Amino acid sequence: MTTIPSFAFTPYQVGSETIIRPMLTVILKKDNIEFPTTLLVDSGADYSMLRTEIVEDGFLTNLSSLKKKADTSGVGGNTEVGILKATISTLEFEEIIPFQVPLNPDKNPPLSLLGRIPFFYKYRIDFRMGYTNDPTLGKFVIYPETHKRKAEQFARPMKIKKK
Amino acid sequence: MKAQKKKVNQNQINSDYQWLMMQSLSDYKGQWIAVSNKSIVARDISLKKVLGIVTSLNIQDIPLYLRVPEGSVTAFLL
Repeated sequence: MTTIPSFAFTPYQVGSETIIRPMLTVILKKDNIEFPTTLLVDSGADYSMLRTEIVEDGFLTNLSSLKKKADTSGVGGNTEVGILKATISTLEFEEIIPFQVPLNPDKNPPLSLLGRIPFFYKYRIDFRMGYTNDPTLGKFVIYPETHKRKAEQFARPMKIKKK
Repeated sequence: MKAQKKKVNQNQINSDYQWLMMQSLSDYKGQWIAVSNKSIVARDISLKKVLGIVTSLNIQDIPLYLRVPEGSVTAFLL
């Protein structure tokens, strides 16, 4: 029987309310440098994003050396980003993730993010928040995505045009 | 960063994070912290300074680094 890894939500005090967030403890690796930290598992984010300090101070990489990508847009507005590929590893998996990095440190996200592309194509993430009467308890599980049907048996929704 | 010469112990990292979730971090808002063996061993608003402090310490494993959010998010708290 395969054990599905589960991770406790991290409680944050926001004003008078306790908010729980899915923070994943990972080891970021680039070249020969390892940087253990936490990422917010953000199903609402298209791409993953690292704060600039991790890139500049942790990985000793100049922001100007990153391959630039067109502006990315989010809740906080548009910002120019570069791409840094790094490996994330836990006890259960290891994946290479292309992280977006804001080229302007003033545009840093509050927390580094693990977004959908490409991670959510490979792994299914379940958020389990209502299994007790205590709203400050919760966990999330991450396990490899598998399909019972073959991929070609899935029909594209009619309103989405094929490219 | 000279810390890469040290080892990463994933079990220790996970254990340290579990410990951290039981602590109040309201005094660390907006700062980077390094956590090793259930202890906050370095803190500063600059990650570079935190990495420098850790390098000067005799720590066997690479610590867990994270930034405590500021603003309305005040602490890890149970």
